[in-house]
Amino acid sequence: MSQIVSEPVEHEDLSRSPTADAWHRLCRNHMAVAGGIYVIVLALASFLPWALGLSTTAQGLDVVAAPPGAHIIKIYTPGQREAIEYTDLAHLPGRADFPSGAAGEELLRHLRSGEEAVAPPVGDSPSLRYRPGRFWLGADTLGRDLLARILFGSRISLTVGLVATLVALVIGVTYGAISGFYGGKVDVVMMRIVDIIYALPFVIFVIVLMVLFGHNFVLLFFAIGAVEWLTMARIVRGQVLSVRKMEYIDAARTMGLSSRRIIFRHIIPNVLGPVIVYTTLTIPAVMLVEAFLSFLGLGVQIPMASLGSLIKDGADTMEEYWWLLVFPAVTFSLTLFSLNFLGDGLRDALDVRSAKD
Amino acid sequence: MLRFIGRRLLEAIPVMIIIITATFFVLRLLPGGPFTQEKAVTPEVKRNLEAYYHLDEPLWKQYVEYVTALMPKRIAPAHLFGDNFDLKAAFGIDFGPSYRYPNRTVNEIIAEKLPISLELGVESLVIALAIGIPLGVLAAVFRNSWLDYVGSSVSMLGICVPTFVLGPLMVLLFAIHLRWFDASGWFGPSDRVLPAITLGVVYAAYIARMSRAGMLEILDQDFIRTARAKGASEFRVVVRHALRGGMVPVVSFLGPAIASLMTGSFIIETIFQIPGLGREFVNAGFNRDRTLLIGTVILYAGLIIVLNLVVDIVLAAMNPRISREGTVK
Repeated sequence: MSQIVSEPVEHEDLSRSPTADAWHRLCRNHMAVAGGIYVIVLALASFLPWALGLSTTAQGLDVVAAPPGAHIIKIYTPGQREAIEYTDLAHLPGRADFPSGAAGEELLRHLRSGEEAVAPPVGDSPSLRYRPGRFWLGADTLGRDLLARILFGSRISLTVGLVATLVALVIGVTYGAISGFYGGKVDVVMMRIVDIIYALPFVIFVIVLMVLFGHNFVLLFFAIGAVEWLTMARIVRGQVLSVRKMEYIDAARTMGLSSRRIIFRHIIPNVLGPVIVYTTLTIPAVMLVEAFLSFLGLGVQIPMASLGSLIKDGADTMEEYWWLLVFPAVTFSLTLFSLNFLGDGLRDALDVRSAKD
Repeated sequence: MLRFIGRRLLEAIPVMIIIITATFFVLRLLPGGPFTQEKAVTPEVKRNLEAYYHLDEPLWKQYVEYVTALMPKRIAPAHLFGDNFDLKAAFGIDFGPSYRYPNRTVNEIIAEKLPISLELGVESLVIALAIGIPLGVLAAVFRNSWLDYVGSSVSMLGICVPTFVLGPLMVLLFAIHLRWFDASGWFGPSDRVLPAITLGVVYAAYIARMSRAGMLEILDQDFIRTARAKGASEFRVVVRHALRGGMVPVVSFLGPAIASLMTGSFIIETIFQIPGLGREFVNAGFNRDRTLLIGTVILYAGLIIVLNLVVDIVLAAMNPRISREGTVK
C-alpha cells in the first residue's frame, strides 16, 4: 500500500482529510469492496423478504423437499402479499379447496401457461389466488422455501453478529480502559481475571447461561458478547497504557477532571482506531460462535432459524437432500469471507503502520 | 530454567483453584438435578441417591470434599501410559462419580474417551502443521507473487469455511457421493481420514496465516540481510536463519490449539459420530451431568496451563531474546 503515496496526483486536492484518504484506500481494495457490497445486499435482502414476495413461514406438504428450481404453485388469500401455502400442479386438483369440474380445468389451464388465477370460494374455504412460481433453491423437509429460510436465517445471524459485537465492545472497552488507566495492582488483577477466563472453554459459559435462563434469544447476545470481550479488553488496555502518559491527560488531570470523565471523554475516543478495526473482525467471529452453538443445538431455537441451525438441519438430511446443506453453507461461508475481507481492508485503510506488506 | 518452570507451576495453582471454584459453584446454578429424568423417582429413592452423591450435605462441605478428592496426592505418571489412562493411580486425582452413568466414575469416562480425542487430535495436528507451515513460509518468501495470493486465499478459505461447514460437505462428497469412506463411525483406519483432514485443514489455515506473518517480520530484519550479504543461499537463509524466529507466533498458537485438539472438537465428533471426549462434554451439558462437566473443564484448563508452560519453554529456547522472567507477548 506504500505506493499510493508516490502515485501521481491527478485532479485530487493536494491535501485530503485522513478519512477521505482511508476511504480512497479502501475503495482500491477490490476484495474489500466486493465483500462490502455482498454484505449490504445480503442484509437488505434478509431484512426485506416480503419485498421480494417471499414467505418465511408458509409450508406445503405436497412440495416437501422439492429440488432446486422446482415449479410450484403459491396459494394466497385475498389481499395478502405473502403466500399461505405451497403446492404443485400435480397435487392441486386433489385439494379440497380446489374447484372441481370445468371451473377447475379452466384454472389449471391458466396456471400451466404461467398466469395467476383466482378460484371462487369452495365449501368453507374463501376465494383463493394461485400463482405459479419456483423454489429457486428448493424446499426444506417441511415444504418451506429454502431461499426465504436462508434470508431469514441470515437476518438472525447478522443481527446476532452485530448486537453481540456491540455487547463485547462495551464490556471490553470499559474493562480495558479502566485496567490500563489505573495500572499497577488494579491492572494486574484485572488482566489475571482475563487470563483465567481465557483458560475456560467458552462453551461452558454459554451452556450454563442458556440452560439457566432457557433458550432466550436476547440472552444469546450477551452469552456470546460475554465471551468475545476478552481480546477487545486486551487491545484497549494496551492502547490506553500508551495514551495515558500523554500530556493532554496530565492537562486534563490538572484541570481537576474526575477519573471517570478522563477515561470516557479523553482516553477512549483516542484509542478508537484499533477498536473499530477489531470490531469489524469481531462480527464474523461472533457469527461463527453463534453458528457453532446453533449447530450443537444450543443457539437459536425453532421456529427461529440462523445460518448455523440451517446448516445443522441440512447436515442431518444431506444423504437425501444435498441442497439443504450446500446453499446455507455457501451463504454462510461467503458472508464470513466478505466480512473478513472488509475488516482486513478497513484495517489496511485506517492504519497505515500495520498496512499489509 | 528450573526456577522458571517452578515459578510458573506455582503461579498455576491459584489459577486452577479459581477455575475449580468457579465451575463448581456456577454449575450448581444449573436447574434440574442429575436425577430429573423422564420417570419421576420416589422420595425414598431420591433421598438415597442424594446420600450416595453427598448432595444432602451443606454446599461448602460438598465443595471441600470435591476439592480434597481432586488434589493431586502422588506422582506416578507411568500409570498414564499403561493399558489405562488412569488419573487416579497416576496423581490421585478423583473426579467423583458420574451423575448420568450411575456405575461409572468421571475418571473412567475420561480414561475411555480421552485417548480417542487424543488420537484424532494428533493426526489432525500433523496434517495442520504439514500443510500450514510450508504454505505460510512459501507465501512469505515469495511475497506478492501468485504463490502468496494462492496461499492467502487458501488460508482465508480455511478460516471462513469452519469445521461444521467443511465436515458435512466432505461427508456429502467423499462418503455419500463417491463412497470412498464411511460417513461416520470410529472403527478402522479409513474412518480417521475424513475427520482428521477436516480438523487439520481448518487449523492449517490459521497456522499458515501465522507463519506467513511471523516470517514476514523476520525476513525484514537486519540479520537476514547480513546472512544474504554473506552469500548464504536463499534456502539456507530461510531454513537456517529465519525459520526459528518466524515460527514464534505459530508456537504460541499451538499451546491452546493442542489443548482444544486433545480434549476433542465437539463439532467434528458430533458430525462423524466419534465417541471422544468432546462429544461426551456436550452430552454432559445436555444431560446436566454436573461432575462430568466440571471434570472436563478442569482437565481442559489444566492442559492449557501445562501446554502454555511447555510453549513458553520452547519459545525461550527458540528465541534467546525472550526473557524467561517476563511474559512472552
